[in-house]
Amino acid sequence: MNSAIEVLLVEDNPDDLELALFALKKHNFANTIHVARDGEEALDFLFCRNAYAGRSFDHPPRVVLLDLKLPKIDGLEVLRAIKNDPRTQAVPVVVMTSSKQQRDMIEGYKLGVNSYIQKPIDFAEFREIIRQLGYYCLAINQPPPPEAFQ
Amino acid sequence: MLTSSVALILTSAAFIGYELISLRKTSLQNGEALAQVIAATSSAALRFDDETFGTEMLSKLAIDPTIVMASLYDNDGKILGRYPAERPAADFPKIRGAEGHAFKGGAVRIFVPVKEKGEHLGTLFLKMDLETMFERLRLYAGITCIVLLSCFLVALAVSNWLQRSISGPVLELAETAKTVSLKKDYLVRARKYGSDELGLLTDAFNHMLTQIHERDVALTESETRMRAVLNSAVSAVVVIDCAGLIIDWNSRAEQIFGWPRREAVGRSLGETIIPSRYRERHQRGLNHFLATGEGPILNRLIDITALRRDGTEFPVELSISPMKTGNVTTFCGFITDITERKQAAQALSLLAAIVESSDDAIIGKDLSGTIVSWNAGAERMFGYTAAEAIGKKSAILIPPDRLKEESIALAHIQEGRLTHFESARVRKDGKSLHVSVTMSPIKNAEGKIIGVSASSRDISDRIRAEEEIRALNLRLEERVLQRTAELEATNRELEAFTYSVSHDLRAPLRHIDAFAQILADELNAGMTAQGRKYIERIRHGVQNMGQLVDDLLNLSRVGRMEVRHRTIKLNAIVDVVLAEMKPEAGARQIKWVLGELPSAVCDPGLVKQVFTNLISNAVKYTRPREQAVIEIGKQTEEGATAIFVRDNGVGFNMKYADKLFGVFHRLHRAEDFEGTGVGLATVQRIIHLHEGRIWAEAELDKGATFYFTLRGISST
Repeated sequence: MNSAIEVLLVEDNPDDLELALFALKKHNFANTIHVARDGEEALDFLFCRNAYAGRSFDHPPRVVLLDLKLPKIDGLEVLRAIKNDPRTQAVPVVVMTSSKQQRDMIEGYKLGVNSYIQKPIDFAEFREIIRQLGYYCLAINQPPPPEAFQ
Repeated sequence: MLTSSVALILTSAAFIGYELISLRKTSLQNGEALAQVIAATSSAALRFDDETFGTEMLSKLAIDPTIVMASLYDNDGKILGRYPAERPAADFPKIRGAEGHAFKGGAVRIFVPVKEKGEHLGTLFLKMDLETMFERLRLYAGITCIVLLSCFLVALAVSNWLQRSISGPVLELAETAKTVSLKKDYLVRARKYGSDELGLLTDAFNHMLTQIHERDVALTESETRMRAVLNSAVSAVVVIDCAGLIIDWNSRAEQIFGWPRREAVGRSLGETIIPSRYRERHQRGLNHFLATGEGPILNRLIDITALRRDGTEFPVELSISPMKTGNVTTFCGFITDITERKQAAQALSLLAAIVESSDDAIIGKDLSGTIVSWNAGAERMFGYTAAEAIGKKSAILIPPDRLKEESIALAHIQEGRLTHFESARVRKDGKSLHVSVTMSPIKNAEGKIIGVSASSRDISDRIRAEEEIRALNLRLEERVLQRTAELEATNRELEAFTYSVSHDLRAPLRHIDAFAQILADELNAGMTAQGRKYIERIRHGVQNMGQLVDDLLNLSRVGRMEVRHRTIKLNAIVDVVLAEMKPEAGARQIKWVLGELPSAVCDPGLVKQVFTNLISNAVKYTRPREQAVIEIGKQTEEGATAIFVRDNGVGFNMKYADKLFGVFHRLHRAEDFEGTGVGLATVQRIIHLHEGRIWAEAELDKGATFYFTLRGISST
């Protein structure tokens, strides 16, 4: 279970990355986090290709925390790829973004995002959100059974 | 009869008178002669004074029975003889020296002197009885009477007969003639009594009556026919005598002039139908004709103005002919009301003038396409004169490739349809032009199509203008496309900008806040109170900045978003806003006065922002008040329903009212009242999106009222 990645954090901004990891660590999720720094890397990881060719589809992450503004392939494209592929579409995706752009929210929900969170400016609020999210996704929510991944 | 009787009587009387006189004369002569004879023989008795002799001499008078008495006197009056001798002397007159004779009492007394050798011896007196004479006279009278009576009877008989056979019929003839003349009854006939001259006369008379009757009937028929003809004449027929007085007047004249015949006849024509200003001329013309027998207006048609009974004037056509019957001249006038003709002529000439003055080419063609009329516009447009064009085929104007249009149009015309099309034409000088042609059928009185009227308008300028417009439009469209593309690009840039603003401006704020917090946590023990305060200031600034970014993004979104209208009760929106607002208001004492608000057709989300903004402002600016009063209601402003939000807060100076709705304009200091200066600008933008109006009234330290209208609020 130790080797299983439970959270895929897709974030390009080092500050955001640091703060997200800080918040996750505070709640003891640090060991099960994999960080992807752009959309391409995130997709490689999820689809077990290129640098992650050795990975198996048998162990999908329990949640993907996805930023929208990403180099190479942006967040919405990543979301579309995840949700359009039967091998990955069961993976819960939580969009975490600074933007409150309605357009993005609408598009995100149309593509099948599971949650959409705007990062609040108040860091205390952010930490609370991360805590609740981790608790919910990793402790409360039942992960999809393997059959969901065909 | 009477005459003849009188004549007879007079004749008889004369005859008897004459007989009387001649008898008297004869008797006297006889008596005197007898007396002379006796006297001559009696002289002896006187000389000798012998009475016996005297009486003897006188006795010889007995031969004449008419002598009733005789006596002989001497110069002394002594009777010397008596006859009859037996009559006493006293019966004899006593005379002396008497001479001559005297008629007395049916007898004549004759006194004759008895002379011898001139010596007067005495006087002989004879009384001669005239009875015999009267006897004769009576006989004569009797005979005369008988003759008279006979004559009278005969005359009576003759007269009767005459009367029966002559006078009767003549009188009857006279009576008949009288009847005829009185009753004008020519059917009466005189009775015929025989075949004599009177019979012939009666026949002749009756024949004459028959002829008169026939003439009369013919005359009456002719008169009736003539009256009928006159009365059915389209023209008014007026006959006047040489004094200018109307003597006949037909029914058309009655209609035209308004005078019934019985009133018109006898009136002066001049005063009846001639306007006063022409009367003198009319009278002069009449006098001139009567004097010279000629007149300029006789026997020809003239147009003049006539007068109706009601005083209106109208144009007439008049012809006057003098008619001479015997020595009497009358004038017959035929008068036609030509009002309609004049109007028609005017309309026609107007029409002709319009056609002639039209800028359009107006061409008449027959059905074979031969030009029959050509106006000035056609001459100007096509360069052919009327003389050149008329008689030619209209094909001379049509470019060969357009001839088909013409035959199609002609086919339409023959179906009686009006056609309108645009085409090209060739001028005489070979230049071509664009025309708009309207062709309509020309029909004759029976409605048969006999030709075409083609009206062409030179639209070369228009076509050129249209081409220019088309070209301009094309250019415009290109430019619009270009501008649209530019605008879209700008919009995309703006989108990208706001996207990055919302994303990239917020991220550093989050980082600053987060690291400041982490720092504070890390330095927890070693942080001074002052340091902690600075950290708080950093975080506060970050919060403000975040709010500003959010507000600006909202403002820009409001400007670009599509408004989605639906009908909603404004009270419902206010209730939601108040529910959200109340926790914020916290423990403050706020008295809410909520009025009944109307429904509105609006975008509820946007209008909710308006209420949120205005109400939160009211809450904010009443903060210094122990008891805040916030009133939300409606009132009528310039016929429109305005919604207001009123507070008893700090208010503002009205001289800054125009700055109220500008972005980043604030009327309060940040340390007094927080805010970004974007809220009211957003509110104004939303109100404008709803075609409404927003304004504020305030007084410093007394409070402020914000009003707004929305097009979607029906006025009450």
